[in-house]
Amino acid sequence: MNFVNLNLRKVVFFIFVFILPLITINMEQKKNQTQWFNEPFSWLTSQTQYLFYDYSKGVKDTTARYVNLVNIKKENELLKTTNNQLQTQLLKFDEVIAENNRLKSMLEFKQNSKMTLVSAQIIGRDLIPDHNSLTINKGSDDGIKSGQAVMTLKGALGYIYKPSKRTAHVLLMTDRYAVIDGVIQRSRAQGIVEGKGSSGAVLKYVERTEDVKPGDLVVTGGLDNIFPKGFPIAIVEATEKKHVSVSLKVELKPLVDPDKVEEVFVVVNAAHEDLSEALKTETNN
Amino acid sequence: MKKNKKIVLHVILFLLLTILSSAFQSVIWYQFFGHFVAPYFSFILFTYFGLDKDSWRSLIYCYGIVYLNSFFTYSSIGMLYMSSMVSFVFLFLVKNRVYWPGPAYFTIMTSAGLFLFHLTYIITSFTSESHTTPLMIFQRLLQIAMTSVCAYFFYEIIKKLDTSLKSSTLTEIKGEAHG
Repeated sequence: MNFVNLNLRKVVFFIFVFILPLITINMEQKKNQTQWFNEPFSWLTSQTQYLFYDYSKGVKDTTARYVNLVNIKKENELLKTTNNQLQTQLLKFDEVIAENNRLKSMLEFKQNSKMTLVSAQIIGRDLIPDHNSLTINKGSDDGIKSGQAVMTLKGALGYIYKPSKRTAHVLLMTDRYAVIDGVIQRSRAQGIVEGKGSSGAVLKYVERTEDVKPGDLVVTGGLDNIFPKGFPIAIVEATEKKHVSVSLKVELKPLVDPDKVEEVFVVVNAAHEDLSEALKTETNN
Repeated sequence: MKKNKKIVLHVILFLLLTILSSAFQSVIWYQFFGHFVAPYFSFILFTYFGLDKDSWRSLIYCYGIVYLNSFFTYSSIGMLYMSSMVSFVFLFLVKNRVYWPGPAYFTIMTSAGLFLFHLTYIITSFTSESHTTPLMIFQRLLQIAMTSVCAYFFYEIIKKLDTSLKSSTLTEIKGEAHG
């Protein structure tokens, strides 16, 4: 192209290349609103941009989620483990608190008592289902002897039989062969508490004329110095006067549920302790 | 291994196994399942030896098992022997008439034997004890069922332990070979 020979085509070219931009620069105005002729383009571009933004955001988010999934999984597992650990610790903590409270009460009872007591834990039960007996983790090495009373803070549980060096068996008061001398706390009516299997016990040999009502508390008589006197055994559930019998039929519900007992006391020496007054005061309170 | 040594080892092993199974039932089962009915594990061993072809050895082992069981219960040893021996006689009579090898037969015999044990126990208690046993039908039936299931699975283990220490004498397992 020969620029020296000017013609119309050359001039238009020159204007478009140099003059128009210069004019445009000089005429440019900062406007907040799009001019009417720009609007369709503006709309089109904005829509395109928005569309692209949406698309790219979606891709970016999905990618980010996918990329983070491994980390999230790891984090989730870590949180799960931590959560489980904390829950286990919490359960253990609750268990420890409960155990601590139990042991604290037992210790207080032991310290405030004249009796010689040996605390023990239940480790086993009878092989034959119709007998109600338990095994404890203390034996003759700890001074345990046959016939000694076994109780919890709530009430009498039974007595020792077949003690070996490190363990001993406890015949529960609900066993059909178990007998404990008992007294109705309110009326002082005497009788013998006999087990009748897992369903409970009965108070036998109570005279017909005695005053016994459902809800009465049966406590130990303490005659044999095996159990302390006045220690709770059971609650009277029902009474029946039979025409042919000279004694009352008294159904009892033991205060201690052997299924829920974990720690017990073995009374090595009852020391003629009388808990009647203490129990009365506690009942009144 | 010499024959005598094997016999001694066999006796020790199975008496130990009886103690372990009884202790498992009274302690470990109790720790996990509380007072829920437990299978009578040592009765599985009782049935196994009750089915032994050598009658005398069978009787001695069964007596040994019942004797060891008595340490884990308040029940009198007489009651246990009475009930167990009725089961023993039942096993003795049946094994000489009807027999086929395998865990199925063993399971049937265990459940029948234990059923008879409980039945005799109840009858003996009602006829000879001053304080009779409660019937506890559901617990007893559940125990029979659970023990039978265990018997099915334990049969092979007991058989392996038994045969590993048996040599020349005719055993329950050898009985299998003889039909």
